[in-house]
Amino acid sequence: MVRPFLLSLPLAALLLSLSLGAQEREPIDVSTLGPQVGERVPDFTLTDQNGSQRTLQSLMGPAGLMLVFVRSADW
Amino acid sequence: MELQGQVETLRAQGIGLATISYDSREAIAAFAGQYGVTFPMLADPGSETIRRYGILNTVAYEAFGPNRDDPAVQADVRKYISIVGVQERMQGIAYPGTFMLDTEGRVTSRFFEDFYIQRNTVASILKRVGTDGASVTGTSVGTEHLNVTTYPSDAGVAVGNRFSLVFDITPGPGMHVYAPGADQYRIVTARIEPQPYLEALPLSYPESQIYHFEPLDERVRVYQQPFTLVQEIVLDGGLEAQRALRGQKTLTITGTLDYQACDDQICYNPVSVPLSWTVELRPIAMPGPPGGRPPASR
Repeated sequence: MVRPFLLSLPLAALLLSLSLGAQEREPIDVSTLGPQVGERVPDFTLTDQNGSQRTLQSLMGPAGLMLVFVRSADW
Repeated sequence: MELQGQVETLRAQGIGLATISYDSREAIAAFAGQYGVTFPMLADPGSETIRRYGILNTVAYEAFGPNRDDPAVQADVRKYISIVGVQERMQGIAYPGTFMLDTEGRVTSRFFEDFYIQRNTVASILKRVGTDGASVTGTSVGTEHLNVTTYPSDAGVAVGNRFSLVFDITPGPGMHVYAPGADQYRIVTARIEPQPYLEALPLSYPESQIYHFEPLDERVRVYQQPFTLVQEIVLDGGLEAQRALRGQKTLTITGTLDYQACDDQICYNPVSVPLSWTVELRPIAMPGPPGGRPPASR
């Protein structure tokens, strides 16, 4: 006998939507969004915390760049 | 502030660090001042760059739209926004994630996971000495159940070579994952995305431990202590592979680490951690015999 599972919320939601006959909305898979491995990312010019304009190239180190998208610096 | 603590490690490896968010420059400046941030934090109010990257969080809009009551939308709110709910001011945020880029701006790896996976990818860039004597780059991902550090055995390979992807896995406190023999559970495994000329051999597992779950008097094979999985990969050395890969400078392999974790109370949903590895593709030193060269000896 297998121990009780924590039933996943998306699964519960899907079961509910099927039983209601609701039109199925595609679940979001973030792994498919945005530039994929091997692709070039878009260039940009954005302002940093000091008011300087930064392009993608200006952020590069000699071995590359770690570019992190965060939800918010404010909350 | 976790990223700030890693700036020197990244700098020592020649890797730049920057963040992007939808906040105003003023909000970012306040944050950066408060936490003594020394790396660039870029402002994208209006989310124009976030949109061009294709990672605008659309769930924050759906949650206020006509299908807000759709259980599938609500489930995605919990998954991609927060478990406590959504506010209109969240519209415009990106899905949080990290791109590792080479100097040409090409993605060498990326980490975009559901909210329940902690992104400690900054702590993650580490160098080890590979079997070919060159330094390899590994990455480390923490989930709420375990930490996995993974790296290729070699920094560079040639057609016909056999090499490994190594997974050093440390279950979290009180956690265990399932080992071969635990057939009622999702056994920990590495899944490698198929690509031409690449063959993934059966995964090699270390000895597991027996876990006794007393309430059900159940005995099952698990890994509780840190353990290592080794995924051997063979790169086809035949003439077709040589021709197809000639001139290609790097080889990128993608896949996932799949597992199911339980503690001594409950079992958690199976998890699939997306991972990728990039190695240099080296030309073979001399023309091979018909049918290609044998794998490199260890």
